[in-house]
Amino acid sequence: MPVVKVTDRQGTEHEVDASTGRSLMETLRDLDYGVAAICGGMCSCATCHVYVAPDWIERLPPAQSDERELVGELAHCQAASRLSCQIQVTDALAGLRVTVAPEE
Amino acid sequence: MNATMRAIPQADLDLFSEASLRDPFGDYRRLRDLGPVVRLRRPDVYAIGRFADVQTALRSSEALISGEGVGFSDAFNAPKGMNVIQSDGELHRRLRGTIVKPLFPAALRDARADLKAMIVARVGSLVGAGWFDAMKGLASFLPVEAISHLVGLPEVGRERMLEWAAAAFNVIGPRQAETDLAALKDAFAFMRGLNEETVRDGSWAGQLFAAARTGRLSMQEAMAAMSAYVIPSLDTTILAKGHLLRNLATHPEQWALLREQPDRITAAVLEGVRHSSVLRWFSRVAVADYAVEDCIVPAGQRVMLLYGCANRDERHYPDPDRFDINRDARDHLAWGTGAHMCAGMHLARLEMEVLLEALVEARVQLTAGEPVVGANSGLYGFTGLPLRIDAA
Repeated sequence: MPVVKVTDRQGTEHEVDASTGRSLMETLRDLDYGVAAICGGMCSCATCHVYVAPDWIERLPPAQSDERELVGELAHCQAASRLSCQIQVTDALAGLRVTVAPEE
Repeated sequence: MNATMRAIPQADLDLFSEASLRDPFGDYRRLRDLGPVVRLRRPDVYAIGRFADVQTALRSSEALISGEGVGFSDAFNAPKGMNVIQSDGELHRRLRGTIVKPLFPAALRDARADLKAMIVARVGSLVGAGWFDAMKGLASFLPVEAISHLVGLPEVGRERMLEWAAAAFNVIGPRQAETDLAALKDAFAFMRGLNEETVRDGSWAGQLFAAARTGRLSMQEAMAAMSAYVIPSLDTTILAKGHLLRNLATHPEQWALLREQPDRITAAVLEGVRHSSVLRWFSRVAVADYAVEDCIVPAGQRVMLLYGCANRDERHYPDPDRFDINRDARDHLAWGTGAHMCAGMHLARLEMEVLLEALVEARVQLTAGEPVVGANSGLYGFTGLPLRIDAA
């Protein structure tokens, strides 16, 4: 299980075991750091919004058009914004750092 | 049948009888207790009513498709694959991607202050005014005075949106009244007649025509997407607000708690739509044999997914009939889940949050009389709710 670093909405960083073969959202939702993921990972609700650390943005598979468009409609959208339901966890993600975005 | 598979129980429940429509919760419990999926006789469909199974089904949009229609009638299901809620796959993604734009938080951020100011003034005018009908006087205020302007229809359409919404949600059921069919026909004729000149520039309807102009959607698709704004944007939130007002008025301890802890307003809104979900159900068609726990729905059959029933499932929410703003109801299914999850949910939440903020800030007590419960086939809600708002 790759270890990822998650900063919650209070600014505390946690080292978290992310399970491969699932989306990052599923790991974050289980931890209750504020990722509600109310649509269940279908790229519909944008309640699993995270900011990816700058040095990791290029290392993730790029967002598809539906994810890019949805993220663009969020009040807290930034260049580093991703929907964690669209990030599949692999061993290559060991060391990934993300911050849970504010609630919309 | 595979030996490990269980026969699907049958039930003679008539969820569309007037008595059940007005008070469905006893039938909902019977349905959940019968099994994970139950074959109904009228209409002849496979009903899924437990929380976990409805949630899974709604997230299985490739196995349970919407393109064969999400109602029970040809009248509603007819425009197969040509509107947002009755399409699948890439077409659905494209239509939805366009219609959600004005309904997402970034676009709504600017509207919030205006909506708040409007509802504060409205609440202020009702304090100490004695009994009034909260459905007409308060719940429908923002939808009629503000949201209908955002949709951007010309006057004649704006005035009929509530009538068309009630008709459309009635027509999804197994039996149709002639008056509803006629109203729905009018609605579609009206929508077909819209063009970029007749809708308000910059409105939601206007941006659909703009999407057609820039080639993002075909004109046919833009017209098809129009119903997503015209039909469900007013009635659903009006009815949800009616439930919320009554629940708070009839649970004074919850209302007192909310006044002390206004940071629970978000939670109160979500608990409100969980406890009294407006949208009763939609249907899907199984493209292959579909397993619900140890039961198999055969390929080609229609399943009924009961949102309001799932939200009262004691297997998921302890003491589910209790309205409790301390409950974590974030995973409720009132707005569905999965690819077809309500595109207007952020707006619905915003409308209800500013209403509760206005009431909390007004320092009032709420008193409700007996509501008149409607019998719409698709929507559970009040047609009248006597309410008093008095200085606390």
